Amino acid sequence: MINRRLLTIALGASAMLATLLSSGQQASAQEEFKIGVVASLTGGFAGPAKDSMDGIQAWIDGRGLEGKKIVLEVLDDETSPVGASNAFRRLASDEDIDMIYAIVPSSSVLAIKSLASEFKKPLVTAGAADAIGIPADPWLFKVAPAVRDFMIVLANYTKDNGYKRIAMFNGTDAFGQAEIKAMKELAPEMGFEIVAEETYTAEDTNYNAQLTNIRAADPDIIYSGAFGRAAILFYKQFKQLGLDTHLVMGQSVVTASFFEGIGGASEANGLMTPIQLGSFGPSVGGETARLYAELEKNLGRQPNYFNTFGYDVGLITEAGVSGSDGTTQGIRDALEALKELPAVNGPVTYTPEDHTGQNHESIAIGRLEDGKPVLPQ
Amino acid sequence: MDEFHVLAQLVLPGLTTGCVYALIALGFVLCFNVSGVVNMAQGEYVMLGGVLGAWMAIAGVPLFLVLLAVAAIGAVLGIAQERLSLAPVRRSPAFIQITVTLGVAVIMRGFALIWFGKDPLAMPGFTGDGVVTILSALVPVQTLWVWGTTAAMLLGIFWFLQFTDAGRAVRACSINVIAARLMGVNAERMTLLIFALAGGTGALAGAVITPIVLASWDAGFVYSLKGFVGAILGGLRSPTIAVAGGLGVGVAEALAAGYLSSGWKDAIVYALLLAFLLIRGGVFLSGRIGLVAGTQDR
Repeated sequence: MINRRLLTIALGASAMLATLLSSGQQASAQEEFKIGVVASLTGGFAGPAKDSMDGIQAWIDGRGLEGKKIVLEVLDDETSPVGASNAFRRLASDEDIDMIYAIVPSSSVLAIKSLASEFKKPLVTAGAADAIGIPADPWLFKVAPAVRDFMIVLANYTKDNGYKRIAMFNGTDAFGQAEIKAMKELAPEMGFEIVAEETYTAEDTNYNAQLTNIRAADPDIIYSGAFGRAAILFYKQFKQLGLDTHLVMGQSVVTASFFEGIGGASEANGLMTPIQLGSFGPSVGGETARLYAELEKNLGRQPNYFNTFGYDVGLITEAGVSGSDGTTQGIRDALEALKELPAVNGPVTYTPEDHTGQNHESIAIGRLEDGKPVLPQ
Repeated sequence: MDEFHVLAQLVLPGLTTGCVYALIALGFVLCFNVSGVVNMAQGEYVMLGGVLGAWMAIAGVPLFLVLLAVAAIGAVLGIAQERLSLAPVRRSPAFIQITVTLGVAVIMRGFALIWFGKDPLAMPGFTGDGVVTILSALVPVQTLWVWGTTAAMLLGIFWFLQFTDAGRAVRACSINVIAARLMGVNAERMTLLIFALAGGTGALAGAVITPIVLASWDAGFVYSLKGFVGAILGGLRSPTIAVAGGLGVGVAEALAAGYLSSGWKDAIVYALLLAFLLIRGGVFLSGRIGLVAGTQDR
């Protein structure tokens, strides 16, 4: 009788212990939220990608997902659409991954877009090319405004300042070609003409021919969409040729590597750039200022544009996951239902037809002063 | 702007870039003539010279020492490439040897990326970052350094090949290595010498042009490609035509961008090469004969 009692107690204790252990394991498994990241850790987009990842990390450190431990699995696309596709396939095939980020340039995002619905994992992406968000892929959600939105702001600036002749300098990639295409549509509506369209490839180092053609066209404003090394070389050669035409460059010039390359941030004083609101910092006010301050605190330094972009990716993730039932379909549905979600760079809205995210209202033309954009008076 | 001004503004910077292509083309031809190998890592020496030079300049190393160190490191790496990667496969088919050089190129790129980072590196001009007017074209002052250094290196190499015993031995190996050996020439030592020369001059060219074009870990591949075009124009045999070809490629792409289309300039350059090869004909046959003869002799 005593043995039977002891046996019963032992069995009961074992059952309790087993239950406790298994519930603990289940709790650990539920707490992990795995995000696959395709990022340009190397190549021409490496600078913006690293800054974006820093912004994402700041979101994880400061906010994250309630009750969940975020795990990032990062693969490098080497700033190549082929690399991006391969990396995306690997991550999307992993059943443990709950959603995917693509922190790669437009041409790589477009390569991934063709695969997005095949794997049915919610995908939040970088890239500005219009074709990323429209037509909408049900599983792919863009963040930054479309190229057309930046060109709308540039076109308004050109028109409002009375410029009639604009010269364009754009890359041969999807982003660059989307810029020139959008400007060709906007120019006639806004009452100015494009007098030169020059292009470059990522490997080019000599833009004398393009700048000579631009000078010969006698524009009163020049827009350069160059980024990375191309932006540095363009700006230096623009100065060397003694051109004094009003110059506007893409927002990707607001990076430490650009300022180092041109010989210091003060060398770019007066340079104009269409840039998202988050880059202006607290001076913009409203939700942008609040979230900017939060990002600055979590990042531990003054954020640049791509840091703010990364933080917005995190905010969108947070809203999507918290509004879902936890399934990948649920996260997708919750993302698509986002309307006017506050973000550092402006509100985010998705519709079934348009997965762009932010629009031209999140952009303003800024003037660079000692490496920081300021709103012109 | 008048037409002459436009032409000058296109040609002179094109010549500057062409100087780098010319040195790479010369490196290709010298290596091929002596060893029978098309060294696809040639452009990476230019890249390494650029990143090393920029890194040392940023660290405050005096310019003279930067240039000396870069040339020496390039030469040592050339020797290392020949000894460690090509000597073991000397009797292998040509495609294996070329693949080995491609592998070396990838290793050099990877090293540059890990050691120097992904961002482009800037280097101040040797005598400032101003501009100078030449034939009504505005060019950076550094351009004069590029032209001068390239001319000095080319003259030095040609003097070496024509007027020194070692240079004559190198030429003997390129003409007939068996005969050269019979005359007491150490062919392996000549190969080492040429790889050192090609590596050193390539690296020095990279350091000299970096103030104009910046240095980046991924710049070597395009240099190799464009320099290879120049070498092919010389049939991978003639150093003189290879140099002229390299200069011509630099000018051609600048003129194509200026007068035709900036978006099509690379396509135009490669189309011209294709047309040249089709018109001339047989250039690959004579190249193959040279390679086969070279490997058989080793």
